[in-house]
Amino acid sequence: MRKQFWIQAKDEIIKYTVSLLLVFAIGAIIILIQGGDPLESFAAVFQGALVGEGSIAKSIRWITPCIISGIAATIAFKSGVNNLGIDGQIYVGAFTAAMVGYAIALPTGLHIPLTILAAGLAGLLFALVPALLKLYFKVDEMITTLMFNYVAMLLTEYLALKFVGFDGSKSPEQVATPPILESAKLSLLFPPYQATTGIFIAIGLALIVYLLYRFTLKGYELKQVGENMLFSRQGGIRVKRTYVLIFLLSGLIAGICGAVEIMGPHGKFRPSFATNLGWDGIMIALIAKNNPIGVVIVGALWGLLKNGSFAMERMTDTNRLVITLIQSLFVLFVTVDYKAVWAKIVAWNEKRKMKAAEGASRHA
Amino acid sequence: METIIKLIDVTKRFGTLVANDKINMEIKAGTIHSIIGENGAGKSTLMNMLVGLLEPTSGEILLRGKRVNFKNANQANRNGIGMVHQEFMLFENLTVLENIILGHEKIKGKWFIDKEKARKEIEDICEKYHFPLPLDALIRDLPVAVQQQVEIVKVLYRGADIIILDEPTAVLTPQGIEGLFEALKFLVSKGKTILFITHKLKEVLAISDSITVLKNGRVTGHVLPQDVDEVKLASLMVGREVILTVDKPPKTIAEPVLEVRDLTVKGDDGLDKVKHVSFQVRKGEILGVAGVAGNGQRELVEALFGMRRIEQGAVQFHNRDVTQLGPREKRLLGIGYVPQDRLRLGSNTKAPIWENTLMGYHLTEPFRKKIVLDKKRALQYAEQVVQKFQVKTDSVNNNVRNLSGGNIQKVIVGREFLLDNKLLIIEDPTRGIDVGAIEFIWKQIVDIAKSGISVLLVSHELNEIISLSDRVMVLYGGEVAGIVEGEDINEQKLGLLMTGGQQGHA
Amino acid sequence: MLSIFFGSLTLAAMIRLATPLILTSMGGLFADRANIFNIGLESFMLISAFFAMYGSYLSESAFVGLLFGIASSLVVSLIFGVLVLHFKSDVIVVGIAMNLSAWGVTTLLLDGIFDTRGSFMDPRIKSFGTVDIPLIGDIPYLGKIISGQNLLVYIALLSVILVYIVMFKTPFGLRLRGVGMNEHAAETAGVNILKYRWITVLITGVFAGISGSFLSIGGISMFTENMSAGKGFLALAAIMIGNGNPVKVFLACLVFAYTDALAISLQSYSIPSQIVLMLPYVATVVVLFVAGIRKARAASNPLG
Repeated sequence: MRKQFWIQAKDEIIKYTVSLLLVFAIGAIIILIQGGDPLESFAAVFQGALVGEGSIAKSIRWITPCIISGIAATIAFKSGVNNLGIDGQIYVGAFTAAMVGYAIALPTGLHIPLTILAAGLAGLLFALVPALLKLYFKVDEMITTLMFNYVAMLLTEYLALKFVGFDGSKSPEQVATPPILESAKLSLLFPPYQATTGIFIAIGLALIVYLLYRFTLKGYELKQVGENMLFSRQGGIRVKRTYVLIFLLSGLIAGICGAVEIMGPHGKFRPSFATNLGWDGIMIALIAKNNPIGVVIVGALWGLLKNGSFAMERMTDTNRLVITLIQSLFVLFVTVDYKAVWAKIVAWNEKRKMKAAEGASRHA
Repeated sequence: METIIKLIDVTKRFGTLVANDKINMEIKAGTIHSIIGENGAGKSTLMNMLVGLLEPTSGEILLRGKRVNFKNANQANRNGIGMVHQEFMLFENLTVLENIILGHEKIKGKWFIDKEKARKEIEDICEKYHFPLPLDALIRDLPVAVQQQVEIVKVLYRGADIIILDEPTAVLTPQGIEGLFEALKFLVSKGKTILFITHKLKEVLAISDSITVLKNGRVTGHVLPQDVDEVKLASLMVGREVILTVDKPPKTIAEPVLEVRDLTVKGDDGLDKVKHVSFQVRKGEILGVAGVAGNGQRELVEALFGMRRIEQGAVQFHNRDVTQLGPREKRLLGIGYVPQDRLRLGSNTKAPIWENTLMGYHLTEPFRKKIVLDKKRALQYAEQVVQKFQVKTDSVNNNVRNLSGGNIQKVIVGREFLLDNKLLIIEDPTRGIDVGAIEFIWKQIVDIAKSGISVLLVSHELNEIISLSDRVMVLYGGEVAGIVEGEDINEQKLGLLMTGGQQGHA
Repeated sequence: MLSIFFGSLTLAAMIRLATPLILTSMGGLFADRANIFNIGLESFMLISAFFAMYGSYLSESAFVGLLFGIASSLVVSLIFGVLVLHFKSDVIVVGIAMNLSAWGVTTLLLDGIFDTRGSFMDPRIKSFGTVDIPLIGDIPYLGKIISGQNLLVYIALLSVILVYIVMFKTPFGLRLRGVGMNEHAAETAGVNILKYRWITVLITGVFAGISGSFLSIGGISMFTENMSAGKGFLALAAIMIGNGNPVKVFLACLVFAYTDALAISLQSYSIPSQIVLMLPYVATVVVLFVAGIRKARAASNPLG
């Protein structure tokens, strides 16, 4: 048993390593084209992420939402729910958190859980419509959730502006809701850096999901539904109910991600604050193959890279988007079945050799 | 009459499996030649070689005296051979005209389809061969009999002189069959040659000019319809050496556990696939369901287990109406299911063995009440299954995908058998399994029935049905052709019922 | 008030705004007919928008820009095709990754080449001009809507007719429709499925290339980060709603564009812009919902 595990793991390790190397090579090429120094840039990333002053704390600030978002995506994909609306669900969750965090005065012990819960609920409700549309009218949830992303961004922007009383003197991006009360703020771990106790929420969520899949009966059912719906149905699992529940849960966690961002680093809601956090989560889930522990690892790597990319931009001329590009290319490369490609190349080469030999023997 | 097709020692091997073994055949031009045999007798394989979809492993095919070796369907078409497959190769949302010309369009102005020219040609064909086809109707709006005519005209449009029809009457009503036979006779009168593949005795005797019988990949007889009758034909077709014998204890009549009354179920195409079927399964009894594939067995089983809608009729389990219940409820009541589709329905090939054996078992007490997955118990159960059913694997953590087909089957069968079920619905439990394992599973089935559990055994292996069943229900055309027991459970009787003979329906 | 909903300005804007949707969806619907669910159309459009701008900038010619746009989009379609058709990668994962990569690449290039963040304008970038159609332009009301549009708009409108003809009047179109309906049957009829799939991917590339070019050099002569802003998804939604029929897809695009045009007109009133900007997206969901109801009624699901 052990042996087979390692054989399978070996293939995966090769795939990830090759992908990683290829992707960084491409990144290096892009940096070179732009006239920069790849070694210097990557060194800056490393320094910013791990070595420099406050680097770990800053990395944690980014790792936190990456993990939560990744978990939201993971539970959806694992059970066959193509929730691409995580970005939007994060926004509504964030806005709700900003409102509840500001408008209601409660002692910290109550305020924080309430805010988080409210945000989660908002994300859940936002996922409700696409879920029902899929369930009852077979409307593809990918498109609906994608559309709802835009709706969420615009809606929260509108509500924020309305709340603040927009007078048109500033551009919408500069407007923000009033800061949340102290009682709703998550404590900083290493002041003055922005890493908060949110990291515990993130790891906690990942842990809960991991435990769910590993140790509970429900987790078993969820996995089976995602892998073979027919098999699950004939085995007595209530597939439809499971589908909706997972969809809603995914929205809930995405909402919580938004909350943690607001209650932590941001402290207020600003339209368009999250720049692709939802997509980060989706990419992380895809790379981690929907494994919660993998999400923590990949999420950590992601956060480190994100933090490092800011440092790189400060210290060198290289645009931090190179890192973003590396990240998205990594997803692409990881989906390639290198063994099959190699086999194809080998086979094509063999065929070519055979044809040449045939030709040679004919002329001989 | 000249010989138009001659097969000399044609053999087709798939690895170690010999699908066609030294087939010799002569077909005269302008006749209807039937090839009759059971499922797996090798009929389709043989025809696929004639149409260029497969290549023979050895042997020769002579067409009009010349040796041919088709590499694809287009080549066969160009030589005048066309096939109407059992499963229609039609495009639902295109018109009859479009279906016929797709792939062989007439061109005008270099880029555009010349529908008018094609229409004229097709109308001529339709007139010549008496097929009044509505050229502008959509395929999905047409009845099956007409769809079949479209397939025939399609083949004629491509210039076929030899038309192969694979199980054409499987989808037709008696009137449709009459219509088809008339059309075939007419085609022959115009000089076409027809190859008619079927398993139905009555038809073969009614329509053929000559008959070849295949059994187990070999020719068991070349006969003329006037020289044989149904019984003789059935005996040539059906039955193999009984290698295995089973010790069946004599049964006493017990109370019914499952009662099915007047059950009607629709197939995927919207037509009735199960028609007013009624039967009982008694306690501790093995009721075999025999029949050639496609006569309603699959739909019956799916309906009984709650995975297909029941249009009419009722199902009672232990005197309780379970007609509308889904798989979960049925399992909770103690009904187990070994499906025929072992990879898509019966297992999860992405998961390890223990996750596969857990499916179904997870509904049992006290498992399902606990939140935490009792992994120890799940593994234990998996070990039990693997051990008892001799699954070749070194660990229950291995992925099911890595097991051989036969071993996957053992996992599925084992899982359902070891659950505490009262009724087991089993489809083809020993398909693809080696002889030793077949013997083992048969013994398990008999033992489990002995212990008082009822079994509904659907099988396409007549041998299996005969060896194991206490009573046998034969399905033909979606209806109960007959329910036999005791001495009547033999190849001849069953073969006749399965092919619509004797005690069948008019 | 009526002039907002039905005024010639609004309708003219509708046609203009529909153009990128129409072009992308015309290309995309070929691939859809071959059962390729391309969620990465965004990336095609964004990349070509950038390179069209770049080409125009370099040569000060809109036409050269268009060539750049189409060429870059073809490259993207090649990558997509290799990944999906040959490496058998999951088409959705590839789409998502390509969308994100396109955003990264274009923003990087914008910074790297022009040292700009956000958006880039330059007098060297030349757009296609508008065309005033004689006679038609003089018709009141209709004239203002139809005449005076950008050249690429007319190309988009013509493309609908072209695609319709190809789809329903040529052997290629007939066989492609067959491939989408029943691959097995198409193969038996002699159609090379892989070849047809590749052709549809490349067609998507060409059309998306024109579409993206319109975004940047179809009048505004500039490139903004993430310019495609979900238009690729809207095009996909239009394809799904129109079920691969060019005319229906075209109408769906018009519906989406109409709500977009309304947004602009309504902004001058006190209706908040965000609410109106939401309209296209909400409209998409609503139309999908309605289309879904009809499909659900038509089909019957025996497996529940």
